[in-house]
Amino acid sequence: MIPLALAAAGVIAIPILATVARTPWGQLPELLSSPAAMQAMGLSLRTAVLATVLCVVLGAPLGFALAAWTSRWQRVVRAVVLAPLVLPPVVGGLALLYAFGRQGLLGGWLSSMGIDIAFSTTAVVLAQTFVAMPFMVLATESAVRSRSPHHESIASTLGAGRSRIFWAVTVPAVAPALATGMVLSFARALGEFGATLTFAGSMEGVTRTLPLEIYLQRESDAAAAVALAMVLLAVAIVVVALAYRPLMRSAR
Amino acid sequence: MSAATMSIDAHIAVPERGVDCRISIPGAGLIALLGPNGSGKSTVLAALAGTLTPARGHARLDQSVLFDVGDPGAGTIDAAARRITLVTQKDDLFPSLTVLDNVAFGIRARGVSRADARAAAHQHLAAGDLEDLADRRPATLSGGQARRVAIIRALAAEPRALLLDEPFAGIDVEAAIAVRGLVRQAGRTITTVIATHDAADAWGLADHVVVLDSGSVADAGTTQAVLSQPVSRFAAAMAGRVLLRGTAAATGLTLDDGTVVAAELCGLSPGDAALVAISPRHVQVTEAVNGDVTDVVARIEHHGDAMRVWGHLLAADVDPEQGVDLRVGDPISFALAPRPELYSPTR
Repeated sequence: MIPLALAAAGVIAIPILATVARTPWGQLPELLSSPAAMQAMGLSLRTAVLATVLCVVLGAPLGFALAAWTSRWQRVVRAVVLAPLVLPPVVGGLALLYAFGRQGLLGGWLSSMGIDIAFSTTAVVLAQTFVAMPFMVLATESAVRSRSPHHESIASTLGAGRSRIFWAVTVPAVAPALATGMVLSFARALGEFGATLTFAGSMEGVTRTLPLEIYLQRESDAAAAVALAMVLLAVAIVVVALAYRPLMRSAR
Repeated sequence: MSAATMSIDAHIAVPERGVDCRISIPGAGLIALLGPNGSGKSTVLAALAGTLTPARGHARLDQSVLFDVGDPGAGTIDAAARRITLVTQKDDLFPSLTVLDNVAFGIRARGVSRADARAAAHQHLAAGDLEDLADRRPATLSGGQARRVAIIRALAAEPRALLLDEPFAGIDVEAAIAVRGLVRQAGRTITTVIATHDAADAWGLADHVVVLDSGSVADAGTTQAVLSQPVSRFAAAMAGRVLLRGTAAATGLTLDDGTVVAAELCGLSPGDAALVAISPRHVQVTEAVNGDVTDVVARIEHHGDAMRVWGHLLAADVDPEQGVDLRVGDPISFALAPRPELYSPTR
């Protein structure tokens, strides 16, 4: 068992260590402050934050709804909603094009109203929301489902109506799980590549997010690519540390 | 009995929990639902509070309908609108709120502002001598403290009735004494129902007792009547007594097999159907020739510093030193002192 566990840790740790070893630490400030890098990081931060807001505002209610819904169609709906978790992102990007592209299901109608989504910053946010939303839905639904409704029952005997019970009892109880879902959604949105490239393209300052910039720089300026990769790596490790802390706490 | 107490009239049927019982209690301050685990006490409380909807039946608190499954016009009143609070054996306090905000919760729900609700909650906690806990989180409280806070929170909501499921179970003796004080106080102002498996909780506290056996009512009446003059074997067992059934005779009770047990007639005439409920504390084991009833040892139980010797007919609590030589199958004789009092099966 122990050699296998060490091998597993190695499969993950060795590439990370290799990236750290390859990073030109001395030039890091210079590489990260280049206009292209700054632009990509700024765009990534803006779009990922917006996508996270959308995930929380839309995904959390969907998670609550799935937890409360008892119909046999619930499983079908959940399977569809969670599909982006396992869908290759490039397929997600194509699907978004078929929906919101100029020739798409809704795109034609949106276009006639003067709204063009594909290959814009909006498309980046939409692609990120598409792939990140399931994390929020899943975190919310499983947290609500694993709770006994005992406190909600008691709250109702104390005279509280449904909305007071929801905000004062249910939401605080599932807040750690919501926070975890939010952090994971943000990380997934920040790292989004395939769906963004397919649905939003790679236009500097408009749709070229950090992962796209890394992919582009990797051949022309390897040092710049690895410097940006280091940023994403650091964010990923911080995110995981943040996301799993509340889970551990609530499990105790 | 205080003026604010209300009558309860209910028929509660929850087939999946084996409960189908009819309860009718005149305006009483403190009511004890007495029964073993699984007898349906918690289900009855949940149905009254509105956290569970029975398949059939109805319930009224005084004139107001709580639910009436058969009457679509009356329907089921939301738990939130019933103004009946419930304290269970589980962790009832909301873990994300401080003790103060837990107590303020029901006050806030009535539309009182946050500041006023907190001020009122402070007063309630102070009255219960728990103000020190105001800023604590429920997770840091002992079981007894949490139970007391939950009861204070339930009272702070100004309910019409308070329901308590095993309020004295699972907490230490000191806390149980404090909870008993709280419950007694509650019973003076509003209709209070406690569910308990222990008749000792009802004595000196409850005005009225309802005995539940496997989801139906085995006996009901004033505490004195039900616990000292039970009419069913089950109710007698819950009250810690042995029930004998027979006919009143000149010197006592004649059982079906002709055995005569010495007893006071207490107004019954020879020939009347009669019952007697005998506490093992009032029975002594004596020399085989001197006793009132001859019997054979059927079972021996040890309870703390006492030993309960069961015959086929009666049981006696004896000093373990005195009973050390007794074995199952030994012939014994029971003496009754004081003499038990006969009563009519219709009380």
